[in-house]
Order: sequence, then structure tokens, then C-alpha cells
Amino acid sequence: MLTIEHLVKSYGGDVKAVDDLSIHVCPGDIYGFIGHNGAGKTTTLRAIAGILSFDSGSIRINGRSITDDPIGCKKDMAYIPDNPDLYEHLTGIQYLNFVADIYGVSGADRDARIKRYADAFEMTPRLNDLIGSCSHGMKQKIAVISALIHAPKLLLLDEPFVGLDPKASHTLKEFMKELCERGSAIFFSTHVLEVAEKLCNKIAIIKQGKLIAAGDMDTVKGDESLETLFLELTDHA
Amino acid sequence: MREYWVLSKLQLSSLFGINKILHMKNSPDKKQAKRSVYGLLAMVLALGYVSVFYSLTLASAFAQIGMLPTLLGMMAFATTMLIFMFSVFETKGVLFGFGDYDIVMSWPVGVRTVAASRVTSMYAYNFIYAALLLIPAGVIYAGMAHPEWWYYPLFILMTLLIPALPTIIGAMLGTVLTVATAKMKKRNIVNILGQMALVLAIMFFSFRMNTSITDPSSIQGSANAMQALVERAYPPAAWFQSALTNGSVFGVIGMFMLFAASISLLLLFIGKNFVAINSRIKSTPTGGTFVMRAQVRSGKVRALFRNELKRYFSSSLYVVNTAFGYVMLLAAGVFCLVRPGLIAEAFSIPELSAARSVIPFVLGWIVSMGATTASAISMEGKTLWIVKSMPVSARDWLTGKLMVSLALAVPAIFIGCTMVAAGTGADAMEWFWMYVVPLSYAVAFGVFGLWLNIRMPKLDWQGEAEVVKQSASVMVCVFAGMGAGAVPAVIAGLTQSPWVQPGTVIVMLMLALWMWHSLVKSGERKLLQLN
Repeated sequence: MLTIEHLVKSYGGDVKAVDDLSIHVCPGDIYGFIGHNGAGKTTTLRAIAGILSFDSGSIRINGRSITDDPIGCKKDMAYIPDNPDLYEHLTGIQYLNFVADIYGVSGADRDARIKRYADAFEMTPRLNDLIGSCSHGMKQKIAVISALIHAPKLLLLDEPFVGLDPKASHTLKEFMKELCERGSAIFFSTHVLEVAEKLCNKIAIIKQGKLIAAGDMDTVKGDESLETLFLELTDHA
Repeated sequence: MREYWVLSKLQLSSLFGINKILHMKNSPDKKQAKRSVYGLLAMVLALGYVSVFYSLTLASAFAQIGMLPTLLGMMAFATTMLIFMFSVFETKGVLFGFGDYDIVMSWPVGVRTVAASRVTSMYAYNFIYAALLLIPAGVIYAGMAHPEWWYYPLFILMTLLIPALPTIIGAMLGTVLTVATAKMKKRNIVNILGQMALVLAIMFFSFRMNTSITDPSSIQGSANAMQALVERAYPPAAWFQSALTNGSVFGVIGMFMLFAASISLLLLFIGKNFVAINSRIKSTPTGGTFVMRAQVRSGKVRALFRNELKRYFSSSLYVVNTAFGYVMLLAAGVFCLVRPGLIAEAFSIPELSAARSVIPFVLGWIVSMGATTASAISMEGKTLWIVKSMPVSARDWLTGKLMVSLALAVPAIFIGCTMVAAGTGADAMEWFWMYVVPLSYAVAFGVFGLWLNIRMPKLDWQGEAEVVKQSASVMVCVFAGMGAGAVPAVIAGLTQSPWVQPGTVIVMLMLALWMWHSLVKSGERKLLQLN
């Protein structure tokens, strides 16, 4: 579903934000991506989403290159950044319809999905409010619904649980599992190691732009907790 | 006091993105930001040049009749009007409702200190306008009148003081308008109408003044009338004049007192109500409870167009700054219809007989001011990630933005130009060009705005005024519109050639095509580079 080969990205100067990173995400994977602040997680996610250009390497989504066929790749995926800056001049329902129009979601599918996800996140009564008047958590919920509305094959999430209340976090985790059971894949960054440990079947750890561990959760962490492994690797690797 | 300096330094360092450029490591971003600053500087120089030209013309006229000092009073008055108008627009965004309000207010700094730093920021912006208008006038006056040595330091001091009163009155009016409409569902419409009415009133007033000075039958009488008008309408402009030309102590003291009183009053008022006003602005009214019904589906470009249109009308500042050209067009149309006799009489004057052929280009220039596209990309700001992450081609994205510009321009052109053509008694050919020339300007400047904005983006804004009023792409676009109107108008006026209109239309459309092709070709790459 997602193949990253030897990705390199620098923001000018000698320091590389992402240095020779290679990751392979298969259908059905919930792939966690962890690392310190500034390790290169957001840069990697933005490059995969087609928002940020990169210096070298390749990113393929469902067999297509994000460089050669960005529109085709973007049709198959959805991305939620760490800060949900949405169109504040639109109401929640207008934003969801806008996203559905862009992805060409049929009338019946969009009605059913908006109802299902908005009800689950307890957002339905508030969909007439301007997004500008919503709290951070509500904006995050709208961003999540908009990402799920076209049933993406690859879901990219940057710190998706920040700002969500415990119930919404639980709901999101359930939807993530459901999406992957249907054959989609999820690649997401998080600082909440307990969540990553319980939710993900695969994990990648990045330090100063370089991948220091990646693969099946059980193989990577062995008998240790993810937290112990993370601290060992990031302190000594 | 220390906190005030720290906060003011923070805001002033972000003026025109200078601090960002100084600390940027990414060379493409730095290049882009530098391009914007160079564009702004070029426009400041160009506006300065226009200001010099205007002052020089006035100075020559006044000098002939021994009333050179009136130049300073006139320019002080014009500066005041301009600052007053801009202060009303800038209140929301610069003074209140600015992007970093939450974080600034969380610091252990007094409310009055925060308010004072915002007033300083507004004053700094306004001082730039004051400097642009007054420094050329002051220098020209000095060159012609050879004043004593004290004129020079006093002039600098007076120029620093002049923005005080219009800033406070504009800020107060802007505050009243913002607060009164904050809870209204249709607050943007009310704001737009209020601001439009204000600008029209100022223009009407200025027009009346200009009419009196350009009356060739009696320059002396007009100049006297103008001097009297300045003294009556805005005494501080007369104080400014008398302080600099006669060394009037009363004028100097008056200006100082006015400055101190204005700033104190503004700080007192804003300091007292700062939190309440910001809270009111930030608390958007909620919509009714949503009940799920079948949703309407639409195509990609239509969805982008609708979103863009909603974005446009969500900002009164954006609307007033762009749609004002169309309001002027409609006002000109109404004037031509209501006063056809006056128009016919003007055209019967031999010196003005060539003016008929110039009309389409004047209309074209007015239309060029209405291009919404020069700031449409910058207005995306922090939400740019949405369109970048979606399966949307740069072509579709840009088409949506261009369509908004044209959707506003085309009806305004048809209504306004029909009225102008009817009022001026145009023949069939003149009717034709009065539609086609402005339409070609609408297309060309719609595309040109995008072409400029993608090269000079301003995405890290804290308030919309930074984009809509102060960004390089907007200033370059407005200035290019003036040039694009003036050049063929002068050629048509001088040559009376029937080929100027079709030639201009062809050039405009060719340029539009070339720029659109370039945008579509490099759009994906340039969109990806926008950060």
C-alpha cells in the first residue's frame, strides 16, 4: 500500500530532516511512527501526503509514485495534520460536503458516512456551526470524519489523538481497526506509546531523520515494553 | 515599560516578514520571501513617485498664486483621510482579533501593555502611509520655499504626530462597527456595507475638493476655497501647515496636545475594553441544531468555486478592498445616467473631445482593481494543507479562484458599462468597446493576480490586513492595473486611432493566455513549494 524507499529531505543546510528512510506498509497494517520532537515524523508524513517535496528517494502509494501521479495517489489516501486548521468560513457540514465533492463520493455514501461518523463522534447537532466557532477537539473530530468520508485506502495521521476526549479517542481507534479490517492501511505518528503498543501491528522508530527500528511490533520490541525499547534506542542508538 | 518594548519589538519585527527572512535557512523559501519584500519596496518607490508627481503638480499651481504653504495643509488633510479609512479596516486584525491573541494574553503582561503594543503596531503601519504622502510634499515645499533650519526637524516631528487623530477616530469607528456586528448572523454583509459607505463618503468628499481645485476658471478662488475648507474641515491640518510655514507655536502645541490626548484616549478606551472586545469578536454565534438530510452533490471545480466564494464573502476586509472598484464603476454609471447633460457639456469642450476614446481604458483600470486573485492564494494561509493533500490539480484549484474574480467582474461590467455607455451617449462601436475592453482587463488581471500571488505568497499572516492590504502581490497588481489603464488611454487620447482598443484587447488576452499557460504548466510544482 505504501512503499517508501531511501527518502531524503533537508530544509537547506547540511542537516537532513529525513535521511535515507525506507518503510513498507501493507494493506491491513496499523503502522505506528514514533520519535522525539523534530525527529522527522511530520516531514515524512507531509512528504507521503504530497504536501512537501523531497530531495531524493521514492514514495509509492498503491503502486503509484507520489511524484509522477500525485492526483492518483491522493485519491487513495487521506491526511490529517497535527493541527486541524480547517476552513473556518464553512460550517461543519459544508466542509464535509466540500471534501466529499472533491473525492467524488456519491450522494448515498456521503449521507450514510456523515451520519455514521458524526453520530459516533457526537458531532451531528453541531454540524451547522461555523468551524471557526468550534473547539480544537471538535475541529479534530471534523477533520477525522472528513478523512474517513471517502473510505481511503491509506490513512495518514499526525498525532491524531491530541485534543480528542477519551470517548472520541476510543471511537477513533475502533474506526481505525475497522478500516484496516476492510483492507486499508494506516500510518500514523504518536507520542502516546501505550496507544501505539496496543493499537499497532507494526512500528517504526525514527531518530534525527534516520530509521533506527522498524517492523512487526512483537519482533521489534520483543519482551520489553515499547516505552523501554524507545528510551533505549533513542538514548543510545 | 520593558514588556511594552518587548511586545512592540515582537510585532514590528514581523512587519513585512523581515525577521523571517533574516532567520530563514531554506533557500527557496528565503528567495520567495525576498521576492515579496523586493516587490513591496518597488511598489513603495512607485507609490512614492506618484506622490512626488501629485505634490509637484499641486506645488506648481499653488506657487503661481503665492499660496505654496497650502500644499502642506492639503497633503496633511489627504494623509489624515487615508489613515482614517485604513484604520477603520485594520481595527479587526491589527488591534483586535489578531491571530496570536491567546498566547499574548496568557503572558504575565498587563492588558494595557498589550493594547499599547497593538496601537504601536497600527501606528507603525499608518506612519508608512503618512511618510509616503508627506515626505515628498515636505521636500518639495522645502525646495521651493527655502525655509529656515528649524523646518527640517520640526517636519519630521510633525509627520510623526499626524497619524494620531485619524488612527484613534478610525480605530474607534472600526471598533464600534466590529463590536456592534460581532453577534449578527449577517455581520459580514453589515460590515461590508458600512465600510463601503464610509469609503464612498470619503471619495465623494475628496472628489468635491478636487473638482474645486481643478476648475481652470479661477485657480486663485479655488485655492482660497481649499485653504478655507482644510481649516474648517480639519483644523489640525491647518496647525500642521502653520507650524511648519510660520513657526506657529500654537500649531506645534496643538499638534502635541492632540497626539497626547488621542493616544491616551485610545489606550484608555482599548485598555479598559480590550479583553471584552476580543472575547466578543472571538465568540462566533452558533448555528441551529443540525438534522441529517440528503446532501447535495456537486463537481470538483464547482465545489472549489463555492468554497472560494464563501471564503471571499466571509471577510469584509477582502470584499471592501476588491469589490470597491466595482462599486466605483456602478457609481460612475449612475452618475453618467443621472447627469447626462454635464457629461455632454464636458465632451463639448475641445480639450476634452478626445476623452471619449479614453473611457474604455478608465473602465478597464477600475475593473483591474477588483481582481480578487492577487491575494486569493495567500488567503489560504494555514489551511493550504487541505487543498495540497486533496486530489485536486493546480489547474482546478486556480480555476476556482479565477471564477470568483470573474463572477464578480462580469455582472458589474455589464451593469456599470451599460449605464456609462448610455449616459455618455456612446455610438454602437463605443458601446462594444466599453464592454470588451473592461472584460479583457477582468480576464487578464484575474490571471495576473494568480500569477503574481503564487510567486509572492504571504501564507504566515496573523491578520487578513497583512494579505489584503499590505502584501506585495496586491500592491504590484493594483499598480500594474494603473499602468495598464494609463498607457493605452494616453495613446488613444493622443492618436485617436481606432486600433488602440482592439490592440489593447488582443494584448490583454494574449498576456492572460500566456500567464495561464505558465500557471498550469508550473502550477503543481509551485503549489508543492508553497509552505
